Amino acid sequence: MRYIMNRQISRGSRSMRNLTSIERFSLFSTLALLCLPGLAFGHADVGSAGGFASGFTHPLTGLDHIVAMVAVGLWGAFLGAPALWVLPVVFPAIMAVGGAIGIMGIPIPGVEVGIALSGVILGVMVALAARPPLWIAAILVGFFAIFHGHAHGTELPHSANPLTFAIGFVIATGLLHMCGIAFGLLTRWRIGRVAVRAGGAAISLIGCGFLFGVL
Amino acid sequence: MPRQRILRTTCIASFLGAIMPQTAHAHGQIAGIGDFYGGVLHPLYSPSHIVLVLVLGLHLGQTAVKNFKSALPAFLIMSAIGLFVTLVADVAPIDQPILLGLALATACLVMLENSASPIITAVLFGTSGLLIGLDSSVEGGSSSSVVKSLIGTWLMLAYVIFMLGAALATLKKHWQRVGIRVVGSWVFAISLLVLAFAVKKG
Repeated sequence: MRYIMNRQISRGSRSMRNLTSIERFSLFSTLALLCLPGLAFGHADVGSAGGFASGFTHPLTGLDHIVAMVAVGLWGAFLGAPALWVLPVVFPAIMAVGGAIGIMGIPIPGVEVGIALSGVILGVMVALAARPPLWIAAILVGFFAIFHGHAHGTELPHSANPLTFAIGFVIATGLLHMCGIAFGLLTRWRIGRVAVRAGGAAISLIGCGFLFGVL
Repeated sequence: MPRQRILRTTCIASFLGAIMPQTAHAHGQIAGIGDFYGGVLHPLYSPSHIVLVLVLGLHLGQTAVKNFKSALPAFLIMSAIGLFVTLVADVAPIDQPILLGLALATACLVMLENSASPIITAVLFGTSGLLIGLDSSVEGGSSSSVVKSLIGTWLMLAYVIFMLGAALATLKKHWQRVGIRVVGSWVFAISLLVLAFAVKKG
C-alpha cells in the first residue's frame, strides 16, 4: 500500500514539476482570482440580479412550456446523432426568433393552440419512437419553437432588465432541454426505452389537457 | 493527459470564479475597494461585456489554431486603445444593442462552427475590443486612479478571454465541441431577444 501511495505521490510531484510556466501561472492566478471577494447580494429582486432571477423562473411557470422543452430533448436523444446535437443548437435560436417576433408585437395566430399541440405531437413522436429523417424532425421542432418563443416574447415584462432577463430565460430553457436529453439517454437500456416512451405518452396527455382546456 | 486537464480545469475555474453574478453598476468607480481592483472587477459588472467576451472566447476556443495569433492580439490592442481614448476624451457609453449585435454575429460563427477568414475574425475581435474599451470609462477620481482602474480593466479582459480561449481549445471530444455550439446558440438567442427589445423601444 505504501509503495502504491509513494508511486502516486511521486507521479503527482513529477506532474507538478513538469508544468510549463503558463500552467503554473494559470494555477496561481486561479487561486488569486478565486480570492476576489464577491459583493454580497442583498435582496434578490433588484437590478440585474432580479432580472436574471425573473427570467430564469419564467419558463418554469408554464407546464405546457416545460413538457414541450423536455419532449424536444427526449426526442433528440431518441433520434440519436446527429439530431442529438442539432436540436439543442438550433432550438434556442429559432425560439429566439419567435421571441423577437413576440417582442416586436407581431401577432401569430393560434399561439396557445400551437403550444398545446407541440406537447401532443412531440409527445406522440417520443411515445411511438418515431424516427423520421432529420430535416422533418428539425422542421417540426422549429415550427413549434416559434410558438413557444412568441409566447415568451409577448409575456416578457417590460420593467425588468431585458438583458439579464433574457440570459436567465435562455439558460433555463436550455437546461430544460438538457434534462430531456439526459432522460432520453436512458434509451440505451431496454427498460429505459420503455420509460422514455411512457414519458412521451404522458407529455402527449398533458398536451391534450391543455388543448382541450382541461389543464 | 494530466497537463491538459490541469490547464483546462484552471482556465474554466478561473473564468467561472470571475463571472460570479454581481449587481450591475453604472459606470463609476466602486467605493472602498481601490482603483486597480475596481478596474479589475469593472468588466464583470456589465452583462453585455460578459456576454460579448464569453462568445468571443467561445469562438477563439473553437478556432484557436487559426485565430490565436491574429484575433487575440487584435482584441488586446484595440481594447487598450479604447480604454486609452476614455482617458483622454469624454466618451459616451456604447449602446448595448451595438455590443450585442457583435455578440450575435460571433454567436452565429460559433453555432455553425464556422471560421471566417483570419482577417475578418481579427476585425470582429478588434472592433469588439475597441467598443468594450470605449464602454469602460471611469467617472471621477484623479488621473492616476483612473489610469490604475483602466489598467485593471484591461488586464481582466485579457485574462478572461485568453483563459477561456485556451481552455476551450483543449476540448477535443465531440460532445464537448457540441457543448460550445450549444452555448453559442444561447448567446445568439439572448442577443436576438435584447436587440428585439431595443428595436421595439427605439
